[in-house]
Amino acid sequence: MVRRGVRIVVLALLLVPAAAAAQQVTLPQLDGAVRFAVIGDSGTGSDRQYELAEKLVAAHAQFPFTFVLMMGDNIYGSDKAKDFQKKFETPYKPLLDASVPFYATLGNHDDPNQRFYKLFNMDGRRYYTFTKGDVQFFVMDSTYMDRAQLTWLDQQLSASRARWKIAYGHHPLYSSGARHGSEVDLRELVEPLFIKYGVDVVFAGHEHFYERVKPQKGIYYFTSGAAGKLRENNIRRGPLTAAGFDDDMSFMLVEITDDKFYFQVISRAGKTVDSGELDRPPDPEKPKEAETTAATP
Amino acid sequence: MVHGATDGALPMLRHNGALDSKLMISMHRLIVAAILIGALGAGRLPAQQPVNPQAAALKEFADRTKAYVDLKTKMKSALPALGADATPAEISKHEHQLAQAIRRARSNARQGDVFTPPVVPQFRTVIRGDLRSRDIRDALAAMQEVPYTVTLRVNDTWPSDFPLATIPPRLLNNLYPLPDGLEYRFLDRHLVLLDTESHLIVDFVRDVVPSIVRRRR
Repeated sequence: MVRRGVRIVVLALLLVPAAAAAQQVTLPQLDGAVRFAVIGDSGTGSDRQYELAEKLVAAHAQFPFTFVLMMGDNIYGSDKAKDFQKKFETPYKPLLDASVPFYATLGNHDDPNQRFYKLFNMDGRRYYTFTKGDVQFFVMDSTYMDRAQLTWLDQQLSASRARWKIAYGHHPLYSSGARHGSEVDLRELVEPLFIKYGVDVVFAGHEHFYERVKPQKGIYYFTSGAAGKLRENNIRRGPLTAAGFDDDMSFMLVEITDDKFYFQVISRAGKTVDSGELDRPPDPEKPKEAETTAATP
Repeated sequence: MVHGATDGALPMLRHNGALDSKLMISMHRLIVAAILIGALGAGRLPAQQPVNPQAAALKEFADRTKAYVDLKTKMKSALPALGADATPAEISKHEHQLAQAIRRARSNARQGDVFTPPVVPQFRTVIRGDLRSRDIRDALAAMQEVPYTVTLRVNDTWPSDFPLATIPPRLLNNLYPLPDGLEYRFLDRHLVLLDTESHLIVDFVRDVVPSIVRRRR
């Protein structure tokens, strides 16, 4: 009995540093880089959301990201004041206390009035844009892609002079998920704009797992929808999948500097489940008229 | 949905002698009438112009959605405005108060007040046409997250635990555009006009979605 107890203690002592060492942020942390985290489908208030949130907070200590992108389904089910506390404010309190802002998009489980909630930084808008350093973010409401929003997206992308253009919304344009799969309808409308105006990276949630899709028409696609829910073994690995993780919950860390995009995906167990470095895709060719105009004195 | 399109149902003219001579007399009368109208008031139009019934129904729909939004704006102006620092409790209270005020103002509202009977067939045609244009897997996927429900009443609140299932964007872009604050949503097989600020069901059309794409759980 005593020997068994000793074994457990020894095992625990061996595992603690192993677990702590497991969550090593390996991103380069270069000067002047834009650093952020990505979470999706987080708002359950479950123990698992809290456990993953702890890992996110721990990651922030090593890699001080300055903001967080939320991929929607921010508050599942009831959305009374106490739900905002339980499903958002409490799990991410250390980050909120450290003045790390969250930029939310709406999911199909979200009340559109979340756009008035100050801590989601939507300023009452269902779709909006913001810029951090060399990166401009285009936040879509993919639950209701009507003409007004398409026009807005077209205008905003066309006016953008940012080096990096990143779009995000709840629904993935490309996905290997068995439950939902690619949102082909949405893709038909927004992908042409992404290509035309040179969007570099697209994030989404909705599928409760992590997936990195092979670049599609020169654009990188990530799904990060497992910060509060998990759909185990749901990825049907096929021609789209570059990497996927559906064994446990996860979040993403991203660092962008010059023409490099570094990313690391960390699970609830603190394990790195995907990481890498991507080059910024080349800008789309400018139409000839634009070149002529630019050349005119 | 085609806005203001003609329905192409023009009366046919038969080509025979009797009709031709009648037509000549009618045209002569028309020319005389046009000259008289022109003399009485340049540019004045006749009181009764033929109107495409489909376009008229859509115009009526647009007027009614606008009237709803105007009413909501009026109700909102009587409530304390939501500040930039609004807490979830304040947002929820505002939503509730707005819903109550609109319910009181529309206490006599009934199904069909906005989706009037003449416009309903156009919505059915567009929605069914869209779903028919998809293969069955795609159509089922489009409706996959639409919640099931038993009761549906005007002025009820959208249940907070029901997801706001996405209207397939291609279909959405073929439906008549709505003013800000109103949205189309599906609930079971029904098309709902939803006020996104008060969460009220403004109106609905039953059974627009064919039963074949709504698998019961």
